[in-house]
Amino acid sequence: MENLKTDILVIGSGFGAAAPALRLSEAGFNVLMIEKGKNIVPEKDFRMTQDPKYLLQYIKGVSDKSISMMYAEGLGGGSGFYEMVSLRAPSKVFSQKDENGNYLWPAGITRQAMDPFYDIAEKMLHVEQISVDEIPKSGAVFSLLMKNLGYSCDRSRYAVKGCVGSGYCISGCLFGAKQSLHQNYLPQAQKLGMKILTDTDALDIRTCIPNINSTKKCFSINSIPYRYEVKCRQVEKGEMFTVKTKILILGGGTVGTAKLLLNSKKHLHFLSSHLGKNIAFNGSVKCVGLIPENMIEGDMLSGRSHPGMISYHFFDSKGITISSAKPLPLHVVAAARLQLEGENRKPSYWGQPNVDLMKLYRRRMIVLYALGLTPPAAEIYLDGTDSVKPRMNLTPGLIRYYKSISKLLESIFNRNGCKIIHHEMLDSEGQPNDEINFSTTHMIGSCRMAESKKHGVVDIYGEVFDYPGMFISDGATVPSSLAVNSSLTILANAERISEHLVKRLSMNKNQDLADSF
Amino acid sequence: MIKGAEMLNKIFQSKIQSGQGNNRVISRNDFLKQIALVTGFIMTSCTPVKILLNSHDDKYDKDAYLKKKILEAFVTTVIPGADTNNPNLCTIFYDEYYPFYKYCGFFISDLCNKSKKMFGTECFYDLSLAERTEVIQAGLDDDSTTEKIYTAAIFISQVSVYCSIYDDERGCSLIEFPGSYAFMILKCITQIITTILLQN
Repeated sequence: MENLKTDILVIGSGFGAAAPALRLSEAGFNVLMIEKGKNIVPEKDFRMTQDPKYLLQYIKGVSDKSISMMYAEGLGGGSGFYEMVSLRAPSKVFSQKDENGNYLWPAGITRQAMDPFYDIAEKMLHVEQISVDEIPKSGAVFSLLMKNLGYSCDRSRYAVKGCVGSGYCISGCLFGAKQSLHQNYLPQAQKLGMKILTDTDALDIRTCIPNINSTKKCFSINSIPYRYEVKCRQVEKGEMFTVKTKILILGGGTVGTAKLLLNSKKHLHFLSSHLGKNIAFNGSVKCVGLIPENMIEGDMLSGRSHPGMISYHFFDSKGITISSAKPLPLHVVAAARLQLEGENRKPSYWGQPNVDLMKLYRRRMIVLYALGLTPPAAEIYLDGTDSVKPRMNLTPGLIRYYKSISKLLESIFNRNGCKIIHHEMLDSEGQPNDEINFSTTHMIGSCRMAESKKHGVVDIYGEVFDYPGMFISDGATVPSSLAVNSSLTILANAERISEHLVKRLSMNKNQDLADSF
Repeated sequence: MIKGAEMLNKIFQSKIQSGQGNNRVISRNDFLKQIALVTGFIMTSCTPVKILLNSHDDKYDKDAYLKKKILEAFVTTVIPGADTNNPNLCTIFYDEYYPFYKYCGFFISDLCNKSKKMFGTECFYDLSLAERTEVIQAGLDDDSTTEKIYTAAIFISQVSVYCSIYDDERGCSLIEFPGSYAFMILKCITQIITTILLQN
């Protein structure tokens, strides 16, 4: 593989990467995108399956005793495997403060300021509120549980167009109905000339010139020198090569981007001390219950994996939204090894008792989950190799939060006559883990945006402090929990950053070198 | 990724609890983690396992038909009613993607040894369901390494059969899972919410 040069290099291909890739391609710039994961052609590569071999090709994670983070690795990033839930973050999200009373979001970035970018993101993904007759059975069950207690819930908004009801959306829609980035941003950018290299891992970043800050005022793409060199490895072949670029956009996600920058720290000495820190995990408290016999069953193993409904009932009082999730067959296999609250019987994780449980759970098990405004308390760090690990100090406040939200979810089940299903987690030594473990796919903020380097890694337009021309446009920049699924906000924020970048570069597009200095 | 000992311990020592103590609930993320655990049966650094692997009777290793019979008997004990016409009933035990295949020889040998010790015949597949159940329970009650191998064998059997991972169209009739490729028309998988709410 030869070494490459490009005007603009985008690392990653998920929600945070796709927007700048498309917008800069539309503006006529020469864009190269690299993606660590495999190429994905939806109708050829996506499968409706429960095969762990298939799922684990794309689903990756890092975990510690108190926090687990899962993400997708493949062309399109998480967009191939998300639930399609596309919700704007409520206004309150943008006015959250840290423990010292400082606002987490930089001044000027409010819901109102974000709305035009949410509009763009929704239009691109065909986001619409699900119609009444498209609510899956599991969503109907959830609505019933909430309605029985006088709690409100709404039909949710989804990035889907022309759903054929195949189900198993999270293993990838091979009918092209799920609006993953393979349906919009990526092919549109490719049509405009963007090149994509998949199976390509970015290992580290170096500066190409000694005083990188001297290029701060170079705005014309012609006048900007090649500022950054990214060392890459072809994942399958193991071949190494480098890419030199004038503008570098990091969009590998909260874990991927922070990992790349942490691995580059030996070359990039001026990165903010906040790198890898301030990761918000969006609450993520879950509870599993068994729907009682006198209530409709959900037929949980057929059809759509998303529930279709969401409740904002407790958002003002507790800062959470509540939804339900439909278990997948593999999920139920794990669940059948669990314990129904109040049942004092011999463990039955195999044999006829297990078959009986599987038959029951297959129709009546439902998961409630609450996403909430938990603080940016987690971080990721290099584990001594080139890999990263997460960690989080479980403060008394977080423990109280977990217990209080769990209690609320359990009470929704209990008051509906549902039984709670418990599961014991184990620590790395195989011992029962008494501590709480938050598991999330909504981690955001490892390189948060802030007004100054003292508080974050990038400025409000995603440019890395002290590294002109290096931008971060993914979930890593989002500074707080959102209390809703994070994909739409990540995309809207990436659109906001892209707009600024295109304006800045286009303004001086035709200037020559002398003019721009 | 969760790896090595962490995976191993989590998958093998995860048991149903009595409902007391600090229980947690499983989430979709936990489920994804769980499948990572299934694939993470890595015991290469475990000395007792090395000893076990090197010392088991290898006569079963050479007879594919016998191995198949023993494993089928095991799967239908763990999942009574599992379809014996399913050509993939035991595929997972030999699938090199899952490191269990390294321990399969020991596992089969141990099932037969226990059968002989407990019921006078090493033909595990000739035992009654109740007897086979006792043999498997004895494996689970054995030393911690043997327990882990039996627990893993049970779990991978369940994943393979209930989820039909080798045939997306087959499903598992035992639990009325139509298979991942069973195409349902939209009407079949939705319910008019107003109708549901009126029922209440």
